[in-house]
Amino acid sequence: MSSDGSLLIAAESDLLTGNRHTTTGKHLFRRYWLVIAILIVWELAARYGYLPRAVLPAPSTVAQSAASLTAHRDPALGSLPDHLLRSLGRQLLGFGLAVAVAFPLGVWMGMSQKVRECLLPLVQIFYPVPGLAWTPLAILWLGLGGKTVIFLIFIGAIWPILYGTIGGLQNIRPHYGRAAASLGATHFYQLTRVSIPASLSMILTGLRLGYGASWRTIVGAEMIASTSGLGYMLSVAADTRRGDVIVAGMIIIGALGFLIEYFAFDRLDRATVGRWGMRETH
Amino acid sequence: MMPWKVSPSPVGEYDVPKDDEQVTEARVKVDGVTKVFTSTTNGRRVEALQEVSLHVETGEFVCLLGPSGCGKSTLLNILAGFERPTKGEVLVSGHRVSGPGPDRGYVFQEPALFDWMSVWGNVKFGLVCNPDTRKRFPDPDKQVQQCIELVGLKGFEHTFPNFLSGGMKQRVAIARALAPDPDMLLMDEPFGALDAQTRYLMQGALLEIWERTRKTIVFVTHSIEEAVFLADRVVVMTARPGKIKWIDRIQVCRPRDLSDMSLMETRARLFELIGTEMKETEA
Repeated sequence: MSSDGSLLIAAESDLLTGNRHTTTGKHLFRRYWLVIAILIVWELAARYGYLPRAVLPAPSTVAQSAASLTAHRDPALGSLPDHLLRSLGRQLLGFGLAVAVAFPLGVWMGMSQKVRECLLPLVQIFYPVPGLAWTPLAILWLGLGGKTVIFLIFIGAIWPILYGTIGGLQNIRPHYGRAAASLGATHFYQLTRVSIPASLSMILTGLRLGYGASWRTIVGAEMIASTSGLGYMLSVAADTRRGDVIVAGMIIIGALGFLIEYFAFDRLDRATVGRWGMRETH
Repeated sequence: MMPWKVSPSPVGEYDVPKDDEQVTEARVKVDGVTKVFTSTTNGRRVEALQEVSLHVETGEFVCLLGPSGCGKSTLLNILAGFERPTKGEVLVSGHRVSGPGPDRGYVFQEPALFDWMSVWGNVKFGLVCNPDTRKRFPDPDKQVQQCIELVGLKGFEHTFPNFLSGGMKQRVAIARALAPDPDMLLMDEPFGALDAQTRYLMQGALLEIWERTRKTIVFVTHSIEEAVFLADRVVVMTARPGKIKWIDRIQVCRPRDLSDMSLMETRARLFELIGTEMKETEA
């Protein structure tokens, strides 16, 4: 008993300290020094004329453009915060719809072999179709505008979420089901308290992939089918030869994707499978 | 060669009552159970159990012992209701077993704990997972606390299973199986994956739990020492198709010392029996 106890305490303290280290400044520097170095070299190269402005503007120029677009509405380009909020809103709506459809459907397909046999071929056909390939059809159905963009985000996110949920439920260790049944669990209780949590690790991976896919779709969709949003801003910037705005837009898109990934998905991961010791967290 | 083998194995001494009258002493009645598995790939039929009959009394600790592949786990799974017998029937507390249920607690070789629930949540699961048990335990928390204390895990209520050692995980599994107050415990090599030291500790802990709860226990193992150390009766099974080859009643009182003369004899006898079984399988 006592040896059991000390083992546990050792394992637990390891885990806690491991988690704590990741948030120190030293750790952050070790992780991002290359990004910082590239920014410095880039800035210097631009200032001393090694990078013509038409090829790539300096990071400081990009930052200034982003700031001025935030402060003032440009007659052609519009306002950066407006575009940003518009894109984010569409992303949230489209992704939320995708989760609302794909999660229950995935659970159903994961649990019932009959349903799976019937619907899986459909999923397999649509999964490899890039979200953007749906654009012409979406425009035909929904016209140019926000609705089309939301639909494209939805369709881009739905397949990975479906796959993750189906796979997660299918790969549950049979012991779990037997344990729940021998304790007398009702089907509903077993589904909500055993099957879904047991497959959460794969479900979360599906959500992450779906989110990434739809975030990558949104820019292209807005370039083609919309007159607002970050994608639209990029296409206008290309037409008006504003390299600084293009780079600013790209950095904002990358940073936003990263921040959401970090604050939403990593947090969710750590609060669930990480806390339960079901997966190594980084 | 083996004088004790001269007498027919004591299987026959358990008369199966032919009338409908229920024998209250027998917690478990296995009557003529045969189990045939049909392979899904080539359609070959494998007989895992053949005409197995066994009675287990209320409060008795029975070990099923045999070489791997002898069908002892299949028999346990039939008792649990995870598998249906091809022929014959199983009664637990007078009711025919038709599926898994909370009247029979099950402890797996791998703890099969719900990793996403704390120790507390795991033990509580069986008390809240269906309306009947919820009615039976209006105050589940008290029962959970008692079960956790019974297995010696006080202080670990809020720990998640993956942060526990193998022995402690099995303690949780035992507490979880005991929580809905089942008529009996079914244990499938529960200490098989533990190191020798922990295994020894867990055997002692299990006997302590058994002495306090007096649950009927059917315990599957392939370790002769474990069977001899734990059981009231050791049931030896033959290699496929599994039949009951021998039943040994061990009357040495607990705590047992395995170097005790009569236990040494029992061990030697069981060793011989299982040895011949394994030779037959290899041949």
